[in-house]
Amino acid sequence: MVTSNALGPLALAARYPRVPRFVLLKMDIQRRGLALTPAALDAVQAPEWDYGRSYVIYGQGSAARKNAPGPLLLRDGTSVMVLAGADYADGYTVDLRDGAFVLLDGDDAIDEVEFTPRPDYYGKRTSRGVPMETVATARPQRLDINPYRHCHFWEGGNQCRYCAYFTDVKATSALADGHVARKVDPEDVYETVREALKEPGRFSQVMLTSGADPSGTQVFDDEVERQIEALQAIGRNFRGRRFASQLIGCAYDKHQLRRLHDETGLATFCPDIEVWDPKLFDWICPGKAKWPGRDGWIQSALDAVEVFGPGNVYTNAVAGVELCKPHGFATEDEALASHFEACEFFAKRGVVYLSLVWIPWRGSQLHGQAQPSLEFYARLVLGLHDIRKAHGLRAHNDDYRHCGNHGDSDLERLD
Amino acid sequence: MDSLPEDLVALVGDPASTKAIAAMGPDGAPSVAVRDTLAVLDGGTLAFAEELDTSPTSRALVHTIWFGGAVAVSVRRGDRAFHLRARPWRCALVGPLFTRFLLEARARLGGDADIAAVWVLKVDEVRDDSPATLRALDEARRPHAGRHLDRASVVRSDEVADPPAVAQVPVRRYLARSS
Repeated sequence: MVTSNALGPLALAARYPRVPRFVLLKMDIQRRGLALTPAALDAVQAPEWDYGRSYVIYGQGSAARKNAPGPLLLRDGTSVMVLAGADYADGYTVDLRDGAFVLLDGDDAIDEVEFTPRPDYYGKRTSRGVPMETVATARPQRLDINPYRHCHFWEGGNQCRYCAYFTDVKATSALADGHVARKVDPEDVYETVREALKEPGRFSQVMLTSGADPSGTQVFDDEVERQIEALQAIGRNFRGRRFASQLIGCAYDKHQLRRLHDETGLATFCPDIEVWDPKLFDWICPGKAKWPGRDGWIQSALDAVEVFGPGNVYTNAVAGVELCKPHGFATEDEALASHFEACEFFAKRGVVYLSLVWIPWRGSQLHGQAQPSLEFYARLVLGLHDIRKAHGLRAHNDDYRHCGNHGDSDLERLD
Repeated sequence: MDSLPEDLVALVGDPASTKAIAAMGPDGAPSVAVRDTLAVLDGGTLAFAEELDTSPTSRALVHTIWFGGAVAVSVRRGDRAFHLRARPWRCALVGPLFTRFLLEARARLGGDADIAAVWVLKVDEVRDDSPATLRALDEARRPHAGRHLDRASVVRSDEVADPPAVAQVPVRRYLARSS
């Protein structure tokens, strides 16, 4: 991957005193990537760290070689969602020194870090023999479930250009003795969540996301049906009607949203807009442009506010991808202006607009392209945070505790 | 610090001692909170549970770990007290330390008890804050300067008038005027 390292976290922390060094570091690790030294890799094979074979499917070939650790943890409690050992030319390194994990930038020791401990349910199987870690993966405080592991946008080349999701299904399925099926049995979902909840205080949210499937009587009807099945299975574990949850879904219409709200305990909904600029949206996200188009994705978020309430609807932007060549913005200033316009638009309507660091994954069409500077992300997270705050919005369900992917919602820890 | 004084360790471990954390919030205002869960880990390290991410103490600790500075810890029982200067070192949301504090909270308060995080503090400085120690230090530093002249240890007893009853001191009127 190609990154510009003109100014690193320390220099930018001085230039942007409201952006803490930890948030800059997190975004820079996401941006530049992470590798483990042999000593660190050996250490994470220990039972307390070993996340097993990687069942997180990002097209990075990460399922090969040794077992992977869980998400990286910084000392301030934030997690860094990054695949250790993926395809990074100029990444950070984690070494093991005096029994502690240390983050290195080149030869410079940056800070002590940890990895998310392995959850207790990993290594167990459902009553149908399915390894539970293939049903749900664990972030520090969140269970991630993919009820359906195939994105139909890939058929006919309609996948988002930055996406490498589900490109390793065959490899990971082989590692799981063939247990990574396209569709997860809802009973396996129920049993896995039930088992995961036995570990005290380990989880405070369940997140669902699936590959897009526009099939059905109405567009996305089949997908919604599967989401409802999975959410109902999860919901059987809880006393109350609603449970802390997020569904990252497609552009469902109001009837589909109403079903999700009324027939399940889902608390928040997130149809990702990915790219705000209309022309770039159509170019970068051809599947989304087709099913049902940019206006449909926006309308779905606005309809969801009616159903789930203001502040309970989210949308993510793959920040930086709008600068990709050949059609992207020419300057970071133009890209920032586009993000701030989007955030303002959504915030006025009760939707939380969040940013993710764009990683040009191997397996995606944009692999090899240059990423924006870290300063771009520093300016972005400040701007997005301030806009949302001005509108009284907080990312309660997509904050440092639950997700770990958003520098802008990390800043809310001081609000 | 590599280790803490044994009597401080004992005082922190005493369930009857009062333990308070003071830190500066993001708005520059100090906050102070009693944290009964404060415990000594290994070396010069303390830890305590925060129930909520949104508490003034949590926000102050995040502000301090992000932007630098120190927090103060006060531990006291009766006439024995310590004052500590420390740095927030880690915020644990997961792992054995978090689980231990959560289970302790649930054992004490029931199954619905919850904590948001365990904060680990690295102690940089320990000061004996016991009143007798502070008094002795003060008197060694500035003999005669820190005492009222009518104190029993200073004035001849035959010169002391009977003190007024506390209730006769017109504090309320004074406070009313000054406000």
